[in-house]
Amino acid sequence: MTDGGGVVLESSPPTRLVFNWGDPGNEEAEGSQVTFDIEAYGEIVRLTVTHANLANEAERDEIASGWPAVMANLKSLLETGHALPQTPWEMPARS
Amino acid sequence: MDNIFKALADSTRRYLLDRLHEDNGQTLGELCERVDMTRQSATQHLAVLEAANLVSTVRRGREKLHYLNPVPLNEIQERWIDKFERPRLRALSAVKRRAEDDMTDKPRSVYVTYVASTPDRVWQALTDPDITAEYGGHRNISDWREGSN
Repeated sequence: MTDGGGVVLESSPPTRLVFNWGDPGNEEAEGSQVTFDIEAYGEIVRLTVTHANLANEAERDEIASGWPAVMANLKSLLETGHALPQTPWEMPARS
Repeated sequence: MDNIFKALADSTRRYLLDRLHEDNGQTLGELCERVDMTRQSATQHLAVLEAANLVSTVRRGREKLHYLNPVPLNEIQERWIDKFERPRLRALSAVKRRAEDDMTDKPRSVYVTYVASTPDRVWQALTDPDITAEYGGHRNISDWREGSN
């Protein structure tokens, strides 16, 4: 998964984080925006990742397959103290 | 004008004004019922609002009806908003609307997951570089304050 990085647009701990996602070396390119929304419900948390302003459908497909892998790893880490034993986004696509 | 801002600087009193805005001309009893507070507390808050001329009252038999008086709010709007800011606010909201329209035209991806954790721990996991490195999160941004790189 490509690394993102950019300017923090909104930081409201611990419920909402919005930042620009783009190639930091390429200031010209209009980047996309990532929003994390964190909502508590009893002893669980709903974490919503919205990746908006993507360039095209191809980028959407790439991003849409990347976030579940990262979020699964994050979920495992938070719940068990360990990330997944294999790197999930390196798993080959279904043939 | 001080007493208007003081009267407005309290969430309970703003809530009382909202209730009157919804349904003007309520008795003390009706207002207490809807805001779930004691008569004594509501009476004190309403007295502050009345002193600021934000609420006016009319006697009806043994009852007193409370009405929202929009005149002081209108004066605030005329003095602080209309004169200086209206054209800029209009331009700003047009920019916001256009930007949001643009955003919705572009593809987006939404992913939802549920974690047995607390908002604080999830926030930390999203922003602490040592933790993001463990699960392969996004590149880290210095201190996650607005405007930071």
